[in-house]
Amino acid sequence: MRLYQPIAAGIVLMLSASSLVAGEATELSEKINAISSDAVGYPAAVEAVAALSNMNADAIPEVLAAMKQDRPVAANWLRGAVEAIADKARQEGKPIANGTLIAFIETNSHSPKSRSVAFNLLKQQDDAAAQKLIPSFENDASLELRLLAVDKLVEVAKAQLKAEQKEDAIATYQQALTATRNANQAKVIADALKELDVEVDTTEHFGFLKNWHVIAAFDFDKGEGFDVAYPPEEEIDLEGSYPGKLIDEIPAPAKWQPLQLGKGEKRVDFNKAFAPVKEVVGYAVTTFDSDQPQEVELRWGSPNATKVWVNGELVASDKVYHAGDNFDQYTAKAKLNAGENTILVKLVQNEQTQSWTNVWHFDLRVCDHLGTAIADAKP
Amino acid sequence: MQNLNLKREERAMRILTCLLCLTAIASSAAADWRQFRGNDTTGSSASCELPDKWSADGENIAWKVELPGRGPSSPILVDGKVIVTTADGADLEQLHIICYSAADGEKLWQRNFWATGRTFCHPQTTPAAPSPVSDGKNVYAFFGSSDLVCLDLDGNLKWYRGLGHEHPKAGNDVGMASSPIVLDDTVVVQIENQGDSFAAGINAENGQTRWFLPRAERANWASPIALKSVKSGDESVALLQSGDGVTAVSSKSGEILWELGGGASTISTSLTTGQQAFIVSKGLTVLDLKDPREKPEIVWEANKLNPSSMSPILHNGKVYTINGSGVLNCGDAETGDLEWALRLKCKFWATPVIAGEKLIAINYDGLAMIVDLSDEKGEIIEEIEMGENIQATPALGDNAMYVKGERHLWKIADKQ
Repeated sequence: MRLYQPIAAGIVLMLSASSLVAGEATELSEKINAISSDAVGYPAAVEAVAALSNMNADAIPEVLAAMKQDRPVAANWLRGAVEAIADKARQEGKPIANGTLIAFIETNSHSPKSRSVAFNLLKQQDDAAAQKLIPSFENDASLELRLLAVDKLVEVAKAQLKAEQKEDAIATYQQALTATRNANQAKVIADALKELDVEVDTTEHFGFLKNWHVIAAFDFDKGEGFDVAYPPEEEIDLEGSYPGKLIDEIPAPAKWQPLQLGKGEKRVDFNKAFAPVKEVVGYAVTTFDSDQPQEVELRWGSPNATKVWVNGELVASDKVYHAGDNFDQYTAKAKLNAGENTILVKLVQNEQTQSWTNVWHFDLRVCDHLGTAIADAKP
Repeated sequence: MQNLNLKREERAMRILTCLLCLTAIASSAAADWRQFRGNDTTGSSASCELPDKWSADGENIAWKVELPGRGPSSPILVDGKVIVTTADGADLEQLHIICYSAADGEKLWQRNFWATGRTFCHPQTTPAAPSPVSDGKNVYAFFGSSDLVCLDLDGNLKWYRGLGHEHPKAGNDVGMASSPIVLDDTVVVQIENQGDSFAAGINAENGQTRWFLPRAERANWASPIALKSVKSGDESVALLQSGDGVTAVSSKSGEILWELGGGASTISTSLTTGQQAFIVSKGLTVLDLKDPREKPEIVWEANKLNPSSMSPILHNGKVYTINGSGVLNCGDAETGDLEWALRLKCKFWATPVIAGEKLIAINYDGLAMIVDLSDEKGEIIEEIEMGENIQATPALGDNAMYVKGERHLWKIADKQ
């Protein structure tokens, strides 16, 4: 009897660890994609991910294909399963075929996240094969993959410069700048071009809005001012004037004034437009023409609390003070009408007294979901 | 220093009982170091013997590996495996959990995930600032983006919770850093900031929320600590620390049991011996935990033992803190009396650890200072350049110390 036990256990193990019925991985993946943001469906997903992780490498394409860009949490569950499967398959000497991974990566209908995972699996098992693919990612929908292609272009430009091919290097750097959607990468490229006497305005590249009207100062009112609907929230009348907060630095009444940013500038700075004061509320307004109705992303950064409206509809409210000021710090989806659209920003300065909290500014751009600038269609 | 009304004998007896309990816990978990400052949060291991000196690239380095990505989180040691977290990528959105064999440094597995919450942070840090924690069965890795991952010790994903995705305003742009704890099959996290601010108890088995507690909308980097129940059938207690003070909540229900105001550190994390809690409040405040579910009495307060960013540690009846000027203070754990002070070379982010009679303090520049504690007053006996910035508190185990730098992980142990 004892003799048969290990054999039986082996058969059970073989059946449970490797077999794959067509569609089974997809079915299990769908249980994971069914989880909701408040963790409903987790017990079923826990069972599903355990079963997926125990499959063989044949299941990888199915699990990858189930990854959805708009379900980032579920995508992480599936990534965990894929990496566990791939690890075990490699350890058993039965890795997924390079050709299968390459075919998956080259199928653009798969989600950017899944193609990026496939690329990393390929890199782990055949770095040379992965490197060969990188130049093809220059305009990829996966920003992770595109980043690699742009890095590669920067390397090429450096090599061209070293070989004293200055014009070629400039062209390659410009190609890299056109491709990148990453602020740090753009800065590196812009700095390199500057060294070659080519001026680059990255604020134009990223589409920061530069023509504004600004108004201040309304009352912070111990923080209550963030939710008080001051007149600019009721109407936009650039000729209007309103009773403002009575402070020496910014005389009442509050009136709109133009603020136009120059080349290389992106920051709408209320301290410069008015005066460095605390416990105040200001607004900035601009118009943005769209040649068609479209859904866009507004992306902005500010060390102050902000609210943003598009055509009178509130699209974001971020009551965060002096906790950083980053590129694309906040993002909101918005619907633009064909023709003129109004973008209103409320910028609230609080009561903190540290010197680093004196800043009172924001920057804002309009782009697509990849961060590609959308140009104002104004003539 | 204020000494309040507990009889010295009673305290001594309870401390002895506590030490016996700690010994029992320590032996059951062998050489594990399952969380920031170790299983018992004291940051010390009496039985750990380290070499008198080492060099970053040779002498008494059992192994050294290069890390993918970086982050100030501490390594943990579970069942012969060293587990670390890091982050990298264009926007620090790539989160990594990596497991090495403690024996030889071989990478056993690596799992990678995308941050689903905010990843903005100060250039010195990354979303891999909170330290992972383990219950000996699973590892729970938490990131500054409020992503919480549960893996078994072989790297198999059990569940993944995108708390930052669920609460998109969670985060401060300096970078979140509060480390989770696990008790009574519940993972407790504190996600406190100006946006979506809360603490939560997450079911360790399936990732679902057991309880959710809104918290003050103020930045907080301090971590919760676990107070074990003393009565059979009682739930244990998670002690949440913030700028307001401390709040004791029941582990599985999240019921608030008691609160103590007066403020507390938002960076340095308290510790507990089981019988007492050393709270980073008004310098250091010691609470007498007869029953952690009941509001405790204050035993003593010692402003002179005020720690800066580092957390207090405890060893052999002494409590150690490093202040903002880089002075190592040693206090009597029973009375709060300051016994001696020793100036170290700052600046520090990593909390020191104590192995045997050696305290190892590693500053941000990567200078490791070994302080001999065997005499009446501490003395620096060795200074070792690790060659890179270090923010992570080391882990101890099996006569070895695991040091995580910005780019490398070292195992320091006597090769003999």
